[in-house]
Amino acid sequence: MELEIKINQRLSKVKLISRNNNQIRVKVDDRIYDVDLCKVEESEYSVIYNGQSHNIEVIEGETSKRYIANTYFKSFDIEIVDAESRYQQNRNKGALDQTANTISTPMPGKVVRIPVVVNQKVSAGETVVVVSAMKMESEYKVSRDAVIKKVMVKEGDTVKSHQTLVIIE
Amino acid sequence: MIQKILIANRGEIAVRIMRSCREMGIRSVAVYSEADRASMHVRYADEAYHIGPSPSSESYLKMEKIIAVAKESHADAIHPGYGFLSENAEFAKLCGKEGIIFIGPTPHAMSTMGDKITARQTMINAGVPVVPGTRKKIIKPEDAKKVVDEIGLPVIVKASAGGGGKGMRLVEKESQLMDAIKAAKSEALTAFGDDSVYIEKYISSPHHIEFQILADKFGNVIHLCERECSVQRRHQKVVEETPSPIMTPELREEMGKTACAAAKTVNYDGVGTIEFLVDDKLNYYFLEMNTRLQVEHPITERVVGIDLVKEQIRVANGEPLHYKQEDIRQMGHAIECRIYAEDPDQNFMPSPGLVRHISEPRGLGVRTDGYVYAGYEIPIYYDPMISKLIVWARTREGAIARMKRALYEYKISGVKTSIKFLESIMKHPNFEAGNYNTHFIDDHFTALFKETQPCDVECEDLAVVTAFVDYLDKLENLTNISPPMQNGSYWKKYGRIKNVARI
Repeated sequence: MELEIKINQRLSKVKLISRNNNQIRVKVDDRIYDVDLCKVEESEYSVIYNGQSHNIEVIEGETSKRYIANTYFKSFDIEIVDAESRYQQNRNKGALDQTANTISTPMPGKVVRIPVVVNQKVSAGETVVVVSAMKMESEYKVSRDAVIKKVMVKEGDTVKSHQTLVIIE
Repeated sequence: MIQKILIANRGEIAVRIMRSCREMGIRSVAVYSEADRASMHVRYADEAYHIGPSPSSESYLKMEKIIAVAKESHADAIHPGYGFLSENAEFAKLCGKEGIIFIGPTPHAMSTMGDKITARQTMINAGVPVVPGTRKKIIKPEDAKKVVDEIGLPVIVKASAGGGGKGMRLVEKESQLMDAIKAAKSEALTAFGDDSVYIEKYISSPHHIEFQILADKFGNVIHLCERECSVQRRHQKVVEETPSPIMTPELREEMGKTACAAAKTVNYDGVGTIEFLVDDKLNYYFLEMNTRLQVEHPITERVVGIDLVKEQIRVANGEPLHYKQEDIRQMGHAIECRIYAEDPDQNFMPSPGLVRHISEPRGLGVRTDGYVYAGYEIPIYYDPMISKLIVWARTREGAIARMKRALYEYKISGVKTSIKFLESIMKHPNFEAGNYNTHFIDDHFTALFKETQPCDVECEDLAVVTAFVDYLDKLENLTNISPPMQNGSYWKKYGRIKNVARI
């Protein structure tokens, strides 16, 4: 079994060479790893490599092919790149610019204020939506001069993380 | 005698109060908002009542509703915890009127200490040193100028009703003074509904040291030594320890006496905290009094061996103090770290959400006061603090080593936490040397965020391998599971089973 896996920006070829219960031999690009890998809890793995004990957590992301992996010191975005996701990526290429036109929040919260209306001209750095979570208000600003095309939420709405709040043009 | 207490709070502090109730054989009543139905304090309590929608203004701050629940459940007393209604003199009055014991000081003590200008004046009258500055609120701009000429720049303009760093402005040049007053006034008006401001000299590189007070209704007041709270970020405490690394036995005795005197001026009873600013030359000034249980009270409990919540309940019961000043001994060293659901890598952005897995540190000398469990969704409506980690050891060095160990063991997944950031504070040479003041985090910001152990290719590869294996196992499990109902009709399935069953 061979797959391409992306960790942050790096893309690697990963190949399973052999597997005997916990004893796993894997090739990552040209490096061979003999690891003893054991799932100890939901999303939590104990990995022994060269006698060193590591705890690595892999949490499934938005799709089954995306993970957030946490080692003791760092956190990574990991994506399994197979034929299907490559196809999806190619298809979505044209839509990439679309994301630059949306304002979204990285955390769940509640919309406190929307100081803009549709068709309003805004200049770079202007606040278009204020979201509050855990007693802290965060202002979301536009990064360039733009026109407000659509406001997807209203004041008082509870929003999920990465939900689109405002679309600009 | 108090037999049942309603806890008008949520989160870790509600659970912490209920623990003491349970040890004393007192029944506990929880109140909860919509978002808190599955919260730990509801599960831990003997009784629980819904009091309203999720925003705290519609639930935990609704005085009449909480009083109504107290009456319905026949609670003798209400413990307000910290935050919410804990320093609200109106609420304490209302409890008194309804014949319910409010576990805290009198409304008079609360309102005197709650208004900073009045508190300053009261302290000056009692001979307690305060930071040089105005005695009254600033009305005319000329008054402000006169004060600045007297005490010298830099100064701070502060809101009388203020707290948490709101309504505060630093003035370094005289030209900034008027703008600063205007800005502080408008901020104070929106945040507290009161635009009174006053001016205080700015103490550069101060330590924030506070004294724990314990008093009964018979005029007995003792102090339970100090807490050093100088590690702060945006005026919020992050790490606290006791004893303070800069404290001397003589200074402790003197400040302790001053703190007791300050509490006596308002006939204080119950537990309270006198906060002081201490400069490099060990001059100290009264800052404010907190008329409630503090977040960081466990470190005091640990070194003096007294359960502060139990003492609050005893005092509220009308019992005299069980301790004299000479009974109080500080034994060893305690440190507390506050664990927040915040992402230190993204400017401490709040990180509410589902906790997938949590494993708390254990072992000798470790206490965790938390309320979060695996599968719990941290709501967006309240404070981001999820837990307090308190360690104790005989020496400060031992306590720091133990805190590092405990932070290493602490695992919370699903939400981002400040654990890594706390670790780098513990490892910082200035913290280890006890050489820090309230500017510590700002002064060492880059050093605190430097990666202590960078992840090399091998460490990245191990993460890749783990995700790879997890994905392979997931694929295998998928192919083993029979496909879900194709046409989705359970009637057809039922019919088929029925037909077969007949044979």
